Amino acid sequence: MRATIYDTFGLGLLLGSTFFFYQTISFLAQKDYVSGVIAMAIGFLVIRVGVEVSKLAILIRRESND
Amino acid sequence: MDADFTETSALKSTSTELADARAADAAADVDDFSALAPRGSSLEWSELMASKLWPVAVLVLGGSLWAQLFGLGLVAEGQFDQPRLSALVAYLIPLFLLVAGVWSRAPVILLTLFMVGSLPGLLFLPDQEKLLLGEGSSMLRIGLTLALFLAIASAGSGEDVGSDVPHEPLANGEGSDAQETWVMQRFVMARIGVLAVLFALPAYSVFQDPEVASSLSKFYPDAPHVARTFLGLIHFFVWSVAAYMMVLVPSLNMEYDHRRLARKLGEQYRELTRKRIGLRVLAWVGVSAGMIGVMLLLT
Repeated sequence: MRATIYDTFGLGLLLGSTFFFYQTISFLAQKDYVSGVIAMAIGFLVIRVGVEVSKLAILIRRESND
Repeated sequence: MDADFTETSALKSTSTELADARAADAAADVDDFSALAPRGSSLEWSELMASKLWPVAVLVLGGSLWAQLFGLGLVAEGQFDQPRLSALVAYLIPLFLLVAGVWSRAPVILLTLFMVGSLPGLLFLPDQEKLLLGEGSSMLRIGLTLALFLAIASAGSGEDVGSDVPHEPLANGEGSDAQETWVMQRFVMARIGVLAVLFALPAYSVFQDPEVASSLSKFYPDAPHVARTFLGLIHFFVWSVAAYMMVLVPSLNMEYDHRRLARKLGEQYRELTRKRIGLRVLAWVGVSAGMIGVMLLLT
C-alpha cells in the first residue's frame, strides 16, 4: 500500500513538472527570461523529487517482497 | 683438461635442462593465460575504454554538438564589423564546460551544466542561424548527436563516485525475481508515458497555443517565427534533460542506489541516539520559530 502511494505521488510529481515547463514557454514567449529560467529550474527540481519518491516506492516494494 | 671439459659439458647440460624447464613453464603459463584470455582481454578493453577512448568519444561528440549549435553563430560573429563580446563568451562557455567535464569526469558538469550552459548561447544566435537550426534535418542531426553524447558521457563519468560503494553480493533471489522485473518494466514504461506528455504539451504550447502565438507576435513583432524556433529548441533541450533524469539515470543506477540507501540507513541507525534526535528536533523548532519571528517583523 505504501509503495503504491509513493509510486502514485512520484508519478504525480513527474506529471506536475509539465506545468512548470509549460509556464517556462509562456514566460519566454513574453521575453521574461529570468522567470522562464526560474520556472525551468523548478520543473527540473520537481522531476528530481518525483524520481527519488519513485525509487523509494520500488525499494519499499522490494523489501516487502523479500 | 678432461676434467674441465667434463665439468663444462655437465654445466651445459644442466643449463640446457634448466632452459627446457623454463620453456616448459613458459608454455604452461601461456596455456594458463590462453585459458584466461577472454576475461583478461575484456578487462583490458574496458580499462582502455574508460581511460583512453571515453574522453576522446565524449570530446568528439560534445564538440560536434557544440559546433552544430554555435559554429554558424561563431562564423557570423567573425563577419561582423564589431563582434559582440557577450555573444562570443556565451558561445564559448559550453566548450569550456565540456573540457572541464571530461577532465574531471563529473557527471553534473557534463550532463547538466553543459546543457544549461548552452542556453544563453542560443539566445545570442542571429535570427538566420536560429532558423537554420530549426530546420527538420538539423533538429534530427542535433537530436541524434545529443542522444549519443548523453549515453556515452553517462556511461563513463563519475566512476570514482561509485567506487566507494562495496559491491556486496545481493541476497538470495534478489534481482532475479520475475515480479521485480515487472516492477522495473512498469517503472520505465510509466516514465516513458510521462515523457510523451512532457513532449506533447510544451510542443503544443510552442506551435499551436493561440495565447503563446499572440505573445510571440506582440513581443517579437519583427520575426515571430524565429522566436518560435528558439522556443522549440529550448523545449527540445528541456525534454532531453528530462528524459535523461527521469528514465535513463534511474533505470541504470537502481542497484547502486539500493546499496547506497541500505548503507546510509545502517550508518544512521548506528549514529542516531536519543540525545542527537532531541538536539535535531530542538534545532528545527528554533529555526522555525526564528523564521516565523522574521515574517512577523516584516509584516
